[in-house]
Amino acid sequence: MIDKQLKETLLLYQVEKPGSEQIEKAKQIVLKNERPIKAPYISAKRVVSSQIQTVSNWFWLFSLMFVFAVVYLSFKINNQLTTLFLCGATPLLSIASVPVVLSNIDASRMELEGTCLIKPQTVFSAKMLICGCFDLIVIIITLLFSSQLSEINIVRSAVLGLISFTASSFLCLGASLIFKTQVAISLVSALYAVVVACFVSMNFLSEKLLEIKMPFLVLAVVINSAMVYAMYSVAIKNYSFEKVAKRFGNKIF
Amino acid sequence: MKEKELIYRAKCGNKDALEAIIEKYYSDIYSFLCRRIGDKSYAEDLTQDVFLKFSVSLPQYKEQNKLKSYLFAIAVNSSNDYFRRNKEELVENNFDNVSYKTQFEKELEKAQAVKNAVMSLSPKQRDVVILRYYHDMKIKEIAEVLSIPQATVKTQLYRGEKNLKNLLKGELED
Repeated sequence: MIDKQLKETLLLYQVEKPGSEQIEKAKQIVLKNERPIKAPYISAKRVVSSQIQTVSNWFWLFSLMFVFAVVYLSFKINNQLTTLFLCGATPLLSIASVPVVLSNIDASRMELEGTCLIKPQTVFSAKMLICGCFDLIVIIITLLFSSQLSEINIVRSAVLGLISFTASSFLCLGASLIFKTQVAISLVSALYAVVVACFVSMNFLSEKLLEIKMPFLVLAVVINSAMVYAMYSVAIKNYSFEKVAKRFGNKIF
Repeated sequence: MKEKELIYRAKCGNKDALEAIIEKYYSDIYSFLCRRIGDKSYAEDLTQDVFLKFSVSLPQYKEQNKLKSYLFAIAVNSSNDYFRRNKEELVENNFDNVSYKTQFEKELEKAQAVKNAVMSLSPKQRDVVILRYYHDMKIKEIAEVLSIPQATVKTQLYRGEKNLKNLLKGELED
């Protein structure tokens, strides 16, 4: 039992409460001298292989359907239309990649992400790589099959498909910095897909598109790829644990 | 945010969590050290040292111990090191550095007398009394902080109280 009288007397001796500056100073000193926690080295190959396992089956199924749809249409419709259809349909690959790439950058999972050895940025990069490489393979396979069924200009079709794909990827990445939900991000790319589809469906515009000289188209692919990389560099900075938690309004602190 | 989550995050290297822990416990540790060593500026340095030691030892921290008790235990060890280095010579010379609850002269004298009485206790008795009376800790918690058996805490507390009552006879009668 505490002696109340003694306590009252002892409480006459009070010490000054520390000021906020004093606490801030302590924080700075501690953080400055803090030893960084060394995470064990995990090779890029291991990160990518571990992330492939987390990709939804819907993504693989959608890609497969994309191949079948384009190949079937190339069999049914004429050569020029196949090329234009490919151009209009590739943004769908970017839209399908959105849930895959952003599945980890989700407020409800941040508690778990913080305890993992692989940073959210690494996961984001790995998934971008997986989706990007797989979509390129899908586009190439589609073109190879289509070229067997109809006499399309495979190089021109590939370049036009890549222009459309890189542009939609750029839009998805840009939208991911502005919007919080995957639906909103996908809608931006879907809107682009609609615009491209309308564009290629207009005869006079699609004819002009097919008349553009190859060096200009290649240049467009290079510029688009550089823009995607630049947007990726900006996006990756925003996917640190703390920034994502704050942005998505997760009440961690 | 719960304390467990805070520790978990700090262990994962989350700086915000570490800052939140410092913010939460700084005042307690600082006031404990002020009373224990009787010097404001040294108490400030030692408080920083406590949190620095805590951040370094964080990966080894086991959550079965209460964080508050763990930090107080580091504070006790840090101030023991300080006493070993300075042999308590500074304690007597720095009374003016501590501020008091009231500015009235009579109260000031009383506060000074209380401080002198607390400082005159043996280090073990002083620790037990400060933790019990100023930080409202239970016997079990004090035993955890000081790494001594509960029976020893009770003995030291009894002796400390007895000594204080003798030293503060005048103040207690008022």
